[in-house]
Amino acid sequence: MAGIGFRLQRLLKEESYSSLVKAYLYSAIISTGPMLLAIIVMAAVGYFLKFQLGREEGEYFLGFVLYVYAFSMISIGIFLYVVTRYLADLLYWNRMDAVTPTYLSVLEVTFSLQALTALLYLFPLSLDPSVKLCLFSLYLFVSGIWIAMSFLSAAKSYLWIVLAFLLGGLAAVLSIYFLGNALGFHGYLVGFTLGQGIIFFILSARIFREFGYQRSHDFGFLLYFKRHPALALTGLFYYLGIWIDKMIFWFSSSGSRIAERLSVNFDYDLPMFLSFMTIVPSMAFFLIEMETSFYRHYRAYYDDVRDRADLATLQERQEGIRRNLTEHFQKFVLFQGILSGFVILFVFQIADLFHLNPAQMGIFRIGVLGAFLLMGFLMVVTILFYFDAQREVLGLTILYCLSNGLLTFLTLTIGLPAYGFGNAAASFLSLMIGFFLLDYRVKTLPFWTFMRQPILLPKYQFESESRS
Amino acid sequence: MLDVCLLLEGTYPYVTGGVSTWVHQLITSMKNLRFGILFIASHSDPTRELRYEIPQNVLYLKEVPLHDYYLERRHQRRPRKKDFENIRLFYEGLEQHQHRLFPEILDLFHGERSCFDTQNFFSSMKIWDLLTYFYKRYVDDISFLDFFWTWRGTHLPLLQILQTELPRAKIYHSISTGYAGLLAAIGKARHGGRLFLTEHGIYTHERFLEISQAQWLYEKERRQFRPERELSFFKRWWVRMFQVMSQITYHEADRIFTLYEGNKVNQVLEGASADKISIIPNGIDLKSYDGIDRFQKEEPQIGFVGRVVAIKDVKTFIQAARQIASVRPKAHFYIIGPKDEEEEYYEECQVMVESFHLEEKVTFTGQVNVKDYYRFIDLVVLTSLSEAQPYVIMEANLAGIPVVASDVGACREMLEGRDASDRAIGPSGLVTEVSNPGATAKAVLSLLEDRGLYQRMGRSGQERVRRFYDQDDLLSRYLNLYEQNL
Repeated sequence: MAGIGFRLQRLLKEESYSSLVKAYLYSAIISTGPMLLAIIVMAAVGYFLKFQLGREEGEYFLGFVLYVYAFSMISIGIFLYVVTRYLADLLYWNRMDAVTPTYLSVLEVTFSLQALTALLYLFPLSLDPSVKLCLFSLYLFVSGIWIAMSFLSAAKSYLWIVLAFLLGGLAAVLSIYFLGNALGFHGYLVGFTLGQGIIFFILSARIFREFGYQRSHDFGFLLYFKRHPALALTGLFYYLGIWIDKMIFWFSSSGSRIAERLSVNFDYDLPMFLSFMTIVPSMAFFLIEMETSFYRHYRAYYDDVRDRADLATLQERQEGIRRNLTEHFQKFVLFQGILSGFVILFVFQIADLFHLNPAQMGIFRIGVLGAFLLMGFLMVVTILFYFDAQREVLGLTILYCLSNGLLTFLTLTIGLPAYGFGNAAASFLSLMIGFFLLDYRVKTLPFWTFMRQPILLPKYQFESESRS
Repeated sequence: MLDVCLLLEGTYPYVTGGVSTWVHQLITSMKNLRFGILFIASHSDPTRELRYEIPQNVLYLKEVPLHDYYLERRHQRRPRKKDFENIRLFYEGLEQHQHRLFPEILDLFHGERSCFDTQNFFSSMKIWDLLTYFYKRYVDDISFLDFFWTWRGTHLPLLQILQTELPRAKIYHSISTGYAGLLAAIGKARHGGRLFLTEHGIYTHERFLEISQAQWLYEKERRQFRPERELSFFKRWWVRMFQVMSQITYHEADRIFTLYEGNKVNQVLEGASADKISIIPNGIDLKSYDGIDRFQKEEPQIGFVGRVVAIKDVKTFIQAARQIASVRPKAHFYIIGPKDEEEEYYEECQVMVESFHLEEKVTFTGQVNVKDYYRFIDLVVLTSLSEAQPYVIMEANLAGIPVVASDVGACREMLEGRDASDRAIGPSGLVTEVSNPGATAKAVLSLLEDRGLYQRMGRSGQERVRRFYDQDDLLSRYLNLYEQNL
């Protein structure tokens, strides 16, 4: 994402408060776009719900949206890092003409799989066909947005991404309001789907606009599954890890089965999503500030390697990377620490604002801490990706997924006071080990740069061939 | 168990040439000895064709590809601190031209106690620490990227050699130093047995010439001033690596053989101890010149025998021909040898002949049977810039023809005699300064003038070759040597 971060940084150079706010707002939307929108829309929806729908229908709607996000995220996760890697290589080889065809091919493959998943889930349900159709398209739209976002990290115009989410969000809220009045539950579903559809199509249009249309397909990325299987697994475990505690809560005895094939646990989900909102500023900080600054040091190091610098120079550059990371992690801890501290300090007021019950309030408090730690983990993982530490990242995401699952399960057996601690403890554990791995990696960077270059058998001709 | 395991780099039985011919003669002349051959090539190549019919007494033939790296796990145990320490000490020892730790190093890469293979050696953190240690020790301010790749490039084939499986043999006979010599030293260390080394050309000198002309090696030097003629650090590294391999071979060898005195001097300069070195020249098959009927044409007939290539310096011969022709206008000159190896050089030679108006007098014969020309040629001239022990001199002398040769390689000792008993036979030709047409012309004319001297030299030549360059005789010296050590 460093590409778009650099473009956003230009806004910062204007040195006015409004452009500072604008830059952070944009990067917040870009880095957390789909999630942020979903949470905001759902908050708005939750607000309207009270006037328009019964509690049961409202939960029904929120439950479906939750499932759409959870399962689309996890299944697209398998593709996300592999495709991102392929894209990075395409850009490196300056093969811009292959971007749009790849986008179309990724959509073809993932949509086929997602359509199948959605059909398997929806077919046996005793729902109105129009509801099924709506849920089906919503699932595909949301999946499409995940993919489009990973392509647009290479795009030039961040403004359009922001605009897409604003327009889509606005369309969703407006159509929910009006359709909800007229059609009730159906109206909600159609309105929300419409909003996501608008986002998906604007983002897709942007991709066509930026990269042009050359061919209908380019399935080259499928080779990358074979070449980098760790990336596919990383994506899977990362997103599964993010959702696994929620899922365990859905299907636990404390969860509630609100419909056929639909169990949720709003007592857990709502405070967890709310606490996730507290790290949005840090996400913006990471995108616009930390990643770009890190990238400059990272590039300086590799440029010097290529420019045949001596070892002492490389070690200076390496030290530069280390100092830069330390500095920014400190900034993050301070910045997010103050923010999370304030949120916890005003937890009663916030609970009041969002109508949280005492149980939810407790989970929210620890959720804020968990989100803080998760943000740190996310940063470590992203930086490790720059160093191509695929095995380490895979190990970390597996660790996160397993520990989140296990510890959450454990907290369920302990009881209400422990809820949310499982997730926070898993984030803490993963962050600590991640820190350790990152530190080791940076300290031994030249070793990895040189000694881990694969030994290839040189290409050669048979003597009989060269003779002819 | 084999009697003799020959270690050959890029020669017999897949590549033709002087060394290969010699090896083939060696094996075929010792039918009761069991031979094995390890052929070192840069890559394995299933389409590679045998250039010789493999004699019945060769029981073992294996290719050792230098660059088809073993990538699978081969090591038996984890490396310990002591192992890395030994590697460090070994490299530091090389600074003083010592390699005491060579046997310990060998065990790290092969056998029951091995702890390294290609993969774990080149990705080890401790090896990396050693690499940076030596970087700081030796250079510190040079491109690290090139330092690293030179290290990898030099050490990948070395590790390949260290991991190579060798057959058991009583004698490991290497026909060069370098990788083959190193492999022979490894065979001796692993299986016991004797190590013989025969060097036709000096390996380090040949590699030095290749490397100093190489374009692919990074040249940019340290920031401080250095004289231009000095090789860059990375070129010196490659040269040094070949030197170390040669030194190890010389050091481990029980006997060293070479073709002539000049080579012996070079070997001693490269670190071989003189008392190990014996000279066994290449020989010639006396029978093949038995029935040659010579006759004399009326006018002088001068032959240059050799490929038309720059290193043979044909141009000096043509310039000499012009000077000779100005004194003996009826003389005729033959340039006998293939013209197609360096076509550009051949064309330059032709232009030279035309500009001297010698078209009538100089004939480029192309590839022909030289014996047909030996029947009527009066003198054979060699103007090479570089030679080892040229076969042409033996051929011409055996046919009774005196030779005028430039003073390179073994030419002087082949024409004037190597030791006292050889010199007593008297000269069989004249030695001239390299690329000096005047001197060559003067020598040729003096032999044409002085018939007595000419005839004496012709007889001396025949006698010398029969006594000191009899192929059967020389090969039997190797046979004796083998038999003493079996």
